[in-house]
Amino acid sequence: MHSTVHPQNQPRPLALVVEDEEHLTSIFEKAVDMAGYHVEIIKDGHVALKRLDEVVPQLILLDLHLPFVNGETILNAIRTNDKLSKTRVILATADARLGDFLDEKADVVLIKPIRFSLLKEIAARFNV
Amino acid sequence: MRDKKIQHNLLNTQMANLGLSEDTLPTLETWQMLLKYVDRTYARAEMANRYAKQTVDQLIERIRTQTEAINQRSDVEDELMEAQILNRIIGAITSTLKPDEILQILCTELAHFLKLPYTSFAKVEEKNQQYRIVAEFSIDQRNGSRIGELLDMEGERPKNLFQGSDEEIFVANDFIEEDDQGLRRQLETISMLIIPIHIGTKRIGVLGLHAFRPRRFTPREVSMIHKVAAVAGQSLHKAQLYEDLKSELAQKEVTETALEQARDEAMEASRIKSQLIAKVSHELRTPLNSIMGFAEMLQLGVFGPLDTNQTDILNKVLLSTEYLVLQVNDLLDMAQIEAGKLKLESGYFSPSDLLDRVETSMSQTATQKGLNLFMTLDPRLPELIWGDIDRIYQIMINLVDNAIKFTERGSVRVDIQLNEPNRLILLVKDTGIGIPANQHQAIFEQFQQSTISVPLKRRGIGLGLSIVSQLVDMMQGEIELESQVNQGSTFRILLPLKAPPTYIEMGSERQTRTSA
Repeated sequence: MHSTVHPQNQPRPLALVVEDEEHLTSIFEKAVDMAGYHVEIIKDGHVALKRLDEVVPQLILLDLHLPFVNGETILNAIRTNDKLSKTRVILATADARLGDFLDEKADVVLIKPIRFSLLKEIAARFNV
Repeated sequence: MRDKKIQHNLLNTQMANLGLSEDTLPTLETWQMLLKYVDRTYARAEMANRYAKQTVDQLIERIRTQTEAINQRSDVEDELMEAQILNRIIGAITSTLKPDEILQILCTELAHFLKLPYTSFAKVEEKNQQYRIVAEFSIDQRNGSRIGELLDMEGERPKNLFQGSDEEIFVANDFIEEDDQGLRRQLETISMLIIPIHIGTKRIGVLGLHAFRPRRFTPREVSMIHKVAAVAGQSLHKAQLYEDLKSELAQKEVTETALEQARDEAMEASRIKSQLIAKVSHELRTPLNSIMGFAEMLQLGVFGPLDTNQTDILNKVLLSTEYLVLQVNDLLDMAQIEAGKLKLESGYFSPSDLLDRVETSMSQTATQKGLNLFMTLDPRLPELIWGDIDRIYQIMINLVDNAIKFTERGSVRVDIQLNEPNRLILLVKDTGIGIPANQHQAIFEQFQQSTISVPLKRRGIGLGLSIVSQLVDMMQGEIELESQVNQGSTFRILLPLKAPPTYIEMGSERQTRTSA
């Protein structure tokens, strides 16, 4: 109800879901998709950094624990890149203590388990 | 007889002076004059004689006095020298707290002072009361050491040993009898002095002073050695106390080290436990997210429509998952509280918002159970109060959840009250089964639950109230519990109240803001 589903003929904004856990990628992908984004799944930090050189996503759902390059490094890269100044970041972590630490750099910090409806709602709010 | 002769001689002399002789007879007058003269001269001689005698007596007396004075001076010098030696020996004996050193100094110093070839100290052995040599001084090292030998006291007849004025001091002076046994045979002693050394009243051993030629131990020497022995006893006592103290301290140190180690180990175990819990809680979150995510997707019809039965079962799955999430959160909180890592994040918040949040979270659960949930907010409370709203919310949720859990019919009441002068009361009151008085303390401990049975699905792992108690402690608050079995329970959380300074200074403004 809160999601803004774009009409079929309009291009959907890009959202990157950066998460290495297989089940969670499919859940997060669906929630963000339902919020009206074109979703791209990225499963390691290294690929995420490379992809951010090429595209300007509207939203990034970023897990903190990632192979090769961790979420914190990626978050810092986003926040120091002028090209990505409008990109919204939802940080997803299973560690509440780490979440607090990065509170200021992310737009939202969600502690796992993340409610499907809550993620969908927040993602939709950033789809403007 | 002698006097008469002198008189006669004097008379003759006088007569000659006068030109008279025994042949010429003098006149009566002359006789009288002569006699008078003789008398006078005699008296004078007698006087001179007396004077001379007196002078000699005085002279003798003076010589005697002076001789005595000289003798006395020599005594004083002797005493002085002795005192100096005594002082030196005592100084040496008391310079150390090591018993072995004290005994060695004692033997060496006395041997030097008394010019003795052999001195020793024999210690009384506790088990058989025998004397064993433990320290010695020997002028001739060629004879070899006698350390370790037992003194042959049995062969000693008392008369040999006890030949002294003091029964405690055994002196054998100039001992030259043909008797070849006991100590004399053992130590080849001719003259010896055996003197006991005491600690307090207990004899710890004997000091043996030996001469291999006849030698007289003078009373003065004996008295001096006695003094040295007494000082040695005191010094040994001190050394013993010191040793005792040292071993006691060492023992204490060992105990303290063990305690420290045990404490460190306990702390390390606790740290590992907290780490483990944090890790477990962290590891549980990812699969929980999958369960919850897929269940929600099913519920939302992402995978197609569900019939009533399926929806019902799915709701049960979700409810259990949510409950599991709460438990995991509690577990992590507990681990963080224990590790001292949980920090309160205080700020100003509206007590009205707090109550709304509690109501939103709990009303459904209460309604499902057919319970009334009443919420009241004291109107005297300031609009904003200071505290960590999330943690206060957590406290209230825990209490309200428990209240609902243990109440089958009736109501649960939640009040936020102002308590004079500066205290906030969070009150949660139910009409449930109550808590027996003997469990009022225990329910705030970890993993404790009332033994009264509750439906299995509502059972947590018993951390809720323990966390409440720890959080209230962190907020410098207090918990009060009033409860009896089947009479319901009332929990009161008393917290220090801190309103924003503007409230105190501009009370009227608050009124405006509240109404706005």
